[in-house]
Amino acid sequence: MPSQNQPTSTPPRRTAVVPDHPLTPTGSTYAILDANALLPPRLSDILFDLRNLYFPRWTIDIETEFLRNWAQVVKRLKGAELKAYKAASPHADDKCKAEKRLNAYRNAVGDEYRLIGYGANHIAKQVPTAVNKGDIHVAQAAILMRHLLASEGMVSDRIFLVSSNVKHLAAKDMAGLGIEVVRPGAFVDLLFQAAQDRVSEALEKTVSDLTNPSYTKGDLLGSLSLHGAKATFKHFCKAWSVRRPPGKERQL
Amino acid sequence: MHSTLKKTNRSSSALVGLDMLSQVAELIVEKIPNGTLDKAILSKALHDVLDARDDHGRMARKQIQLHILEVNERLAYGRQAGPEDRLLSTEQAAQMMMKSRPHVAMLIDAGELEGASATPKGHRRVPESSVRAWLSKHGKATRPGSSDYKAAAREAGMYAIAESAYVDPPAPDRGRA
Repeated sequence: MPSQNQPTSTPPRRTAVVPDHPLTPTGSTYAILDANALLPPRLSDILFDLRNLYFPRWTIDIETEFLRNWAQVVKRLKGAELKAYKAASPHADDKCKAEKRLNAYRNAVGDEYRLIGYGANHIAKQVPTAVNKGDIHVAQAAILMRHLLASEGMVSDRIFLVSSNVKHLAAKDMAGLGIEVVRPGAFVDLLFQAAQDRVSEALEKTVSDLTNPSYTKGDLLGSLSLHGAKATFKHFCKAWSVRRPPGKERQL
Repeated sequence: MHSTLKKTNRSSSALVGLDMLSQVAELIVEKIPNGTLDKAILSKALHDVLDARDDHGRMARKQIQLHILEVNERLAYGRQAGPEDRLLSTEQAAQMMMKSRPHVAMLIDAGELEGASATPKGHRRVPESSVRAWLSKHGKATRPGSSDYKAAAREAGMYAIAESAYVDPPAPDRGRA
């Protein structure tokens, strides 16, 4: 019901904080980070060191997947050992360590990191049929984000779904919904191409933050190569005069 | 509050040269009868609380900002504080909550802001009381722990394992919990 004291003029508004997101000069860039982007520590360090260039988002389901795979990788278990480990739950100490890493992500991003309500029917029914069953929740999170932005008239904002599992996420169909499904390395490349100085500054920080054990520029280049950030890798090999990164890992 | 400030005998020129909180402290001291409050002590206390980097400092700054926003809006509308429960747009709610509009829209859709509705054109509306209830529940909440994700990875021994092992786990484990 209208108030009797209707405003006679427009009330003052706080100036909206416009994020400086180079991939979306007229708006914001959102990236839903899949568990396979959050889990590899060298990759996720880079993605979070670049977080001022976009808004990282994820869900409780993605965290659950992170925790499951964390134990599998960090405990270096396979086959029967892995089966026995999973059967002998709970592993409070391990879970605590993985939770600590997740919690640090959350604190670094702030409480808007978490997407909720992506299981709603109107979101679920938009998921392309080509999306792999196990990845539906990831697609739903991205579709929810698109729905929220569209319903708020923020149509120029961009949404990326960052996953190394692109083939299971029906990239073409998702693009039709306004969601760009990209590999983590491709996302880093896009950020680099849009804001070379800022990415350079962030990557310098990635290296300088880690002293014990030390992490070299060559190591970082090896990780960029591993995750398929070809353009960024090529540029910094030259810029940092690193011919061949030590411990260069397999190209994905 | 604005009328209180207007009634002060202190001219603004007399406040020039003091830091911002000292000016506020001086105005507050003038409202305390019998001069029982020392402006220097009050100024220091204000600085201690509002400049602090800890959770209490963050909470105090947030509450002050909210109060200023509310006072500004009240002055602009020429309203007195009253019991009416305004329906807020997502933008207004986002300003009060210091969140983004999509985040507020998400909280509304997920039922975390009670009593929300939609206009015939589909624009979300949420009662101011609901936003205040949310703020009193979550506004002061601070997440425990550090934001140092690199320290967390180091402590967990994550860097001791080749990055490729994370990229290609032994058996891909997918699916909802």
